[in-house]
Amino acid sequence: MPCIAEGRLRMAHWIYEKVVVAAAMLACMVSVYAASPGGPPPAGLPPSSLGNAIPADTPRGTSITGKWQAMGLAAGWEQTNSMMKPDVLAKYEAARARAAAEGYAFMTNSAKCLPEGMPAMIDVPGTLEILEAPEDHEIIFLHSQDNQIRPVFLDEPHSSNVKPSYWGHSFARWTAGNLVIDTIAIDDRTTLNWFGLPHSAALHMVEEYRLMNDGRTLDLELTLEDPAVLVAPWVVRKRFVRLPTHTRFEEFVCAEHSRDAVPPSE
Amino acid sequence: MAFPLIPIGFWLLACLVASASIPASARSTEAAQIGADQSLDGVWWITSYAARLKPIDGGAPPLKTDARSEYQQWKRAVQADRTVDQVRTHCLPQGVPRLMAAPYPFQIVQTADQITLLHESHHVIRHIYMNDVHPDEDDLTPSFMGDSIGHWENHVLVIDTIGFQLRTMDRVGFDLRTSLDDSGLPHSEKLHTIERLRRIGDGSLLEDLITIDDPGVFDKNWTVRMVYKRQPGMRIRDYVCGEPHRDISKVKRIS
Repeated sequence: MPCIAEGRLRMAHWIYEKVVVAAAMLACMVSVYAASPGGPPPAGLPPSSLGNAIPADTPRGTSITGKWQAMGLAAGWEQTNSMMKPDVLAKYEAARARAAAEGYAFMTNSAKCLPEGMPAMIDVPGTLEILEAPEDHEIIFLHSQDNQIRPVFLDEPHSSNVKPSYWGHSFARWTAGNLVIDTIAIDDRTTLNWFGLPHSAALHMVEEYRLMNDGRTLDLELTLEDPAVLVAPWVVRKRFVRLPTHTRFEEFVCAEHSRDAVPPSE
Repeated sequence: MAFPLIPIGFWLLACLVASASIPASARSTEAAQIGADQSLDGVWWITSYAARLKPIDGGAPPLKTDARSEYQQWKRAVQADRTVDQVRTHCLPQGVPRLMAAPYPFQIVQTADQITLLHESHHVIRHIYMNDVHPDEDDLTPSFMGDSIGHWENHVLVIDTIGFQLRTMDRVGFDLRTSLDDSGLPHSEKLHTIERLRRIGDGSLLEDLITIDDPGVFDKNWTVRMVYKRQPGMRIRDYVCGEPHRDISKVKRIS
């Protein structure tokens, strides 16, 4: 009897775990699907976010340190058809079509509880927090999506043998009051954006952050260079709006290491 | 003699007006600067790791009878492979004090109104809102890491945390169970922690005295002590569940 009871317990636990994980994945898929177009990215993309009005009660500031609310996705993905190399785009569209035909959403990293990494994390329409850590010669970007921590280094230029990672290696400097971040060594498991557009290991990205509107907004110009997938450097833009100082940074928890529970996307 | 009274009244009034007119952010900036010469900024790594936390004054955590029974039941279930510690297997935020006992380094970053702890383990971010108050009960969403507010008492950073979410097998019906340490020491929804962080010795060590106030599980409050060593030049690394992590074999283990 104990064996049967234990077996039932295990089975119930297994089923329950799968149900819970599946429900969590479904919620992720729905959110991804809601944010993404039914087909390739150009159709149904939100309009440029930079034109959005700034909420009247937005606090002012003189530093990039603080919490920032992304104003939607980056503006510029509507150029996907002209910027992506045709063979790369065709393969990407085929993968999306296959996922749709087989009845599941096109899985991005965060839908699998993996870090979005660079540059897709920038595209996520969540909360961004920036911390300046002068003692450690770092500026740290915190992303509410999956509680991710991304350090950028002020004293550490790229080395020749840097190991690829989800975040890549980021070297930052201040140029005319703007923060300019140069990133290489980005693991090719990450994607260019929230829609899962692919990139190669040769991706080089440059972010330029500029405080605007009395420090109420932080405007980003992101340049993507990747000759393996792009026909030319691609510039997209994004705006963040400053949040009050003691805004609570919401805890975001993904049941990591449960990605075997979902079908592969390609 | 009205003459001396006028200036005193004037200055009292001016002082009140001036203090009221200082923006909250400026006041808390001043508070943050009090601790500047004992800055906690930098990367710290625990000097020894223990799966079971023990009170600083010896003995065992003063568990109530029911809680002790639940704790033993959980430990037996884990040992018999009837359940798993999903906080560990899915890299969920460990809560307090469990996270503070983790054998991975963390970084402290102090900014004007906030002290932020960036933990390599499970890439948990701890926000300590300085000179703030906890949200009202209705606005407080329970979370793995709770809601933390802080203030300086001389060179000691005092962190007060409430709002921990409680998950147990009984209440939720599956095995996601939050606990106070890696051995499964239970807590209740009444958990409240008070931490006192300060640099000790020659400044290369950081002490965290964590008082556990949880009348739902313990007969009385008890305190556990953690010590971390400063790691000049070290940087927090990526941490992805299921992928290789930093080598922690050199962290001394205490049974």
